[in-house]
Amino acid sequence: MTEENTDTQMVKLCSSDDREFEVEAKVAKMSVTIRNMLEDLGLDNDEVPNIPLPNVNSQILEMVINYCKHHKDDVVLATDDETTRERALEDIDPWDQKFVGADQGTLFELILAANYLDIKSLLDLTCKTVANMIKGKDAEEIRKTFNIQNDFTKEEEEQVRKENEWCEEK
Amino acid sequence: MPTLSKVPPILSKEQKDFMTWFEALDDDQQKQVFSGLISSVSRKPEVISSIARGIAPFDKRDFMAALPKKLAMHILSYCDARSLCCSALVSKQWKSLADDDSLWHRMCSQHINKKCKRCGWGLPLEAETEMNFEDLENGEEVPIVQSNGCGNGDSNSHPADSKKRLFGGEMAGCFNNASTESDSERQTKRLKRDRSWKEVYAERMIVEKNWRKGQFRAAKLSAHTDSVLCLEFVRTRIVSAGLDKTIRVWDANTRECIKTMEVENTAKCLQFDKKKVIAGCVDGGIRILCLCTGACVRKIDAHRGQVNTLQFDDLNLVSGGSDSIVQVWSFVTGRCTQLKGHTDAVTCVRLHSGKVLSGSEDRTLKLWDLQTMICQTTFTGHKDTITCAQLSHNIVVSGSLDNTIKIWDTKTGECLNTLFSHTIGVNCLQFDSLRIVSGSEDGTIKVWDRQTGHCMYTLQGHDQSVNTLQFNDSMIVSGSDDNNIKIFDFSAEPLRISGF
Repeated sequence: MTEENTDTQMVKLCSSDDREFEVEAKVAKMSVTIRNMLEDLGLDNDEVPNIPLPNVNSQILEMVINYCKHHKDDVVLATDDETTRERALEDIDPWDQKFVGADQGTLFELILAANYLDIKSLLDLTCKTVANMIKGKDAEEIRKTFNIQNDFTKEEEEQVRKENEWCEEK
Repeated sequence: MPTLSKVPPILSKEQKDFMTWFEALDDDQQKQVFSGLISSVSRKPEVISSIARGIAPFDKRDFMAALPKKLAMHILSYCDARSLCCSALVSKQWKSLADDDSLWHRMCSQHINKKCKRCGWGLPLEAETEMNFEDLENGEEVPIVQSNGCGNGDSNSHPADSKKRLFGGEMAGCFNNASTESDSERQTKRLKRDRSWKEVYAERMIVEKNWRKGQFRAAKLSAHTDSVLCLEFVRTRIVSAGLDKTIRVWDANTRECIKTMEVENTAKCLQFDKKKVIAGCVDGGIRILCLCTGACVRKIDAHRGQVNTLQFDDLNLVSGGSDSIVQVWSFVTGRCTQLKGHTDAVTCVRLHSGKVLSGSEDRTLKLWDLQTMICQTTFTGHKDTITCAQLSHNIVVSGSLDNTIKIWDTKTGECLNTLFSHTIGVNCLQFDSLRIVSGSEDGTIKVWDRQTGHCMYTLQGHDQSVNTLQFNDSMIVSGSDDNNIKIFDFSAEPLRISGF
């Protein structure tokens, strides 16, 4: 079977709450985890393989599939980690921005799903989004944003403040 | 953290019963009931908005605490230094993640000794070479031996043998053999020591701020009894030569003169390593002195007229004289090659990865290939004598008595930028990845942003012409006609990061 055939073949993805999604293999294979599973199964034209994804619920899986459909034709740049990271946080494309513009709970689950499904671009996108939520805020604003308790004692806080004050003004 | 049951202030009996019933449900059931409730009010947008606003504060996640460490670190890897510092103040868990060595190692590698592509900031590298001066302190002598003359080397012989031939017997031991450690390994080791990468970054950042703002501690060394003509420093060791016919060794920390060597002729240029000083003198001779004893172990008649400039590395010694000639002395073959092309005195020579750059009173610079010994590029544009220059792989920076500094493309010879600010001749300069520092006849020293060519500030420190200067990551050392050496120290106190 040629590569093209395997890509247009459909596969069934089954969420933790037992909903099934039928997608093109090309879309599903953006997940390295699924790609490996398909390779292990050995694709056959006659049947639509069923991939159980017990770590992803249907709501998140649907989002991930939408993401993969949108990006299925992206050219994967063979960039190493450093150059990727040097890319500005700001250059997230508008579609992606809207995609992750959801609430923190969804974002959180998307990170876990992207990690579990091993979709690097989605993991980078979601992690960058959180980094953007941290950027430009002081400690108190970060605590508010993520609802975090300050567990430093007064003395500890003073000490930590001192050891970080060098970064304050440029 | 508030719970939903506290939200409605007064509840009727029915409502309370409903809440109790609702709270007893499991997650899936609660979701179902909640979805049902939402669809039942969906015709009234203002109610929906109000509910959404009520829910939003509850939909928050402590990503750092809730995610596996690997993923939390992935998020933080996108943060800049300031964000990481603010994150460290959030909570103990955030601090332990945001202070992580791997994040700051990356931060350091993105910024130290280069401009970060993301934020445009670069941080200075620590002192270039870690030299071991034990020999000097322990008083180990370099044996004085008779010289054998040079220029008749056998190219097949071992490099060390040729060094012996060129510089005489056991003097060969004075030359560093090519290091087996790679530059980056050495850099990493030097920077790291027992400190965390965040501490390294913070300290470098403070030093960079000091440089940018021109904040330094100044010290004066009453160095010579006449003009200071040239100096070199490596870490805390300064070696200077003066018109008073002495070469002196200084400790930059204590500012004490450790050794004074008398030379029969004034040295105009010098370079040293851990065992020897090589000095070029006004009588045309190059002298090799033992750094420990101060004795002259070798004299080479190099140029007719004065030796204005010299530099050596592991393979070659290059000198330039008022006879317009550049000479390359190979430690490998023992041969001396003359590079002819300048039409007036050669004032500066610089060695860099198989190339020699020379500047001359004929107002040109020439770039020579050491393999072919042919002049590859001539840089023309200065309107007066070139006094100083330095080259890297990409650029050449030169200073001239025409009051300007020019930046050139090493490969094409094209002048990329001309820096104006000095009102009188430029005598000496040096650049690194971040800045250019230049000294002038009017006694001023200027610090320039290398990328923009903008003069950041002017240091007034000398009463008379600045003849020589050198800088590293944390200090500028300059020598002047006012007989003094000045040290401008931009270094910072090391910082300690605590761990809870």
